[in-house]
Amino acid sequence: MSSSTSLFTRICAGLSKACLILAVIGLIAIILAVQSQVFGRYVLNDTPTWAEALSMLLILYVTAFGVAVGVRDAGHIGLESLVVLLPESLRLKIEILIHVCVGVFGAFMVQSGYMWTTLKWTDIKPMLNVPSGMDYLPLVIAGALIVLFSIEHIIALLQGKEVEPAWN
Amino acid sequence: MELTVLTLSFIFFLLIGVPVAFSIGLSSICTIIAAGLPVAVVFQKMVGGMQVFSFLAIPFFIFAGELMLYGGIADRIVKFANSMVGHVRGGLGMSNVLGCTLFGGVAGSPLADVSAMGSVMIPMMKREGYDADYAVNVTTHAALVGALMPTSHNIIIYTLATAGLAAVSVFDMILGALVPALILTVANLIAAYYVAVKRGYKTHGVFPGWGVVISTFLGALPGLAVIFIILGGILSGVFTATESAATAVFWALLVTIFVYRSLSWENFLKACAKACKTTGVVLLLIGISSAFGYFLALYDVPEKAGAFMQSITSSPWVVFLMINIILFLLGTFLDMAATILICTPIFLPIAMQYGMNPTQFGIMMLINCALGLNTPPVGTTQFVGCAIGEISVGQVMKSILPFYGALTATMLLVTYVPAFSLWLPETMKSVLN
Repeated sequence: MSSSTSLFTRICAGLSKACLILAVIGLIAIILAVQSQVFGRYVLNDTPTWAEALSMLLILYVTAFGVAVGVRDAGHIGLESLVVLLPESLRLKIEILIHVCVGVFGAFMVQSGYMWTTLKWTDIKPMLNVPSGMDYLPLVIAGALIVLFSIEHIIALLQGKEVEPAWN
Repeated sequence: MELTVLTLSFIFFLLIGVPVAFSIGLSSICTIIAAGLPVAVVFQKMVGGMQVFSFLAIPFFIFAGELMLYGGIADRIVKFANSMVGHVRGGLGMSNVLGCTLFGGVAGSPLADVSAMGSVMIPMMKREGYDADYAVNVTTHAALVGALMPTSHNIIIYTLATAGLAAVSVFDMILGALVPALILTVANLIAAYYVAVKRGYKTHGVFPGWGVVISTFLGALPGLAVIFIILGGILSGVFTATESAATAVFWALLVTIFVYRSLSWENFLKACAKACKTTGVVLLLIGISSAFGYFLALYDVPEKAGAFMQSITSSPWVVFLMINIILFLLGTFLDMAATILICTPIFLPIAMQYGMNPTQFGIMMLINCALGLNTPPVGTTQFVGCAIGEISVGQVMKSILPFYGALTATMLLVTYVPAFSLWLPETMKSVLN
């Protein structure tokens, strides 16, 4: 194992763990926001207007992190039955192709996400007073991480190794 | 031309093994490039498809299900089910069906149900002399009821998939699925009993008495209460579906940490991490499917599919049967959420044109997709069940027919008798108004 790849793997693993922790914090925050809506309505007689808007924004970030970690931990479900029937050498090529496809989609996410984020950055979301572009920023984050993790998978495949989930 | 690109590229990506959500995304990108439109439209549709408040119920239900999975409620449900029906012939098989149904109500997911109940019940059944294939089949089929229970995130996915096609409320779907869930449980009990008699499984022990039944019920009650929180919240109008799902998470935490004291910090983190990963997978699928659905509508796919079916037959019975067969075939390859999201925009308009109520269609689809979870080549719950039972899919297929029969019978009842899925929501609406 060359030290440069192992550093790359360590960086990816660290990022993946950080993403998952952020996603967990985000999910718990969403639950608290939705609960505060119920609490506000029945106990304080004052429904917080930010709660729904905040949870709708946060879920986009939780999804982005979850999607990225899913790519690294091979959590996304696809058809494997046909690929396993192929001879070993061809199977490796197809598996690399799969990761290239996923990575290409990630690259499109970054490109389109960046465009929308900058385009909508001057619009302000009414309930939260934050730029509307923040709705599209998760596309950039998720896309970049997907590209990174796809590259990690391709390198691992070429070296005959497997990518281990970083956390839980 | 664009439709050909959409179909062929989707099939290509799917066949080489690109994950479903990415296959949908990439084929949408290919299509939009072929149509000469900016790619950014795909991602705008994707983010737009995720901006629905009821959408949040999905991660909540997934999270609550994970907490319940790690939180030790499965054992208590097993004890309760055993005290009720453990003494009849094929007793553990019957308890298994009952237990899976109850846990399915708590977790709302066939997969969580098989993992939780299967890991308790399948080894127990094998120790008591039941064949492994029977133990696995009972568990995997009974667990499918989870997809129809009030905590099922697939119900929410279906209501999201119908956006713009029909007015389907979460209220209608949750109540509408209850009677079919009950029928499915009864059908599973009959199948489990039939196989037990045929194989000559002996009876074990005697009825422990109502005292034991009540005490084991009280033990399981705090966990089971989640079902009542959701039903009660939605029926009374105190909570929206999303809020009651968030309350279910709170309740799951309270019960597993303070009442059962069975949730360790490690397992809590594991449940959180698993919930976030699953959330990412499912929500990406939903988001990207709204881009896909946009193209399906743009290129008149429902109309074309409908015209094609009309050229074969004009009988609603045959059309519904054809839809069921197509759903089943797709469901054997695709995950439940993917099948729902891809097929609803195509087949719901056709079914409605032939007079099927959209709520009824949704429940039929849920049962149909559930059948696919137990069918090779890609049977997710079947895989998990076989792994726990330590047998191959081939061995399980030997005794699967009675259970398939039970499920198919339930599905046909829901398909052809609207009252099974529509009576309860309509009655409750008239009572509440």
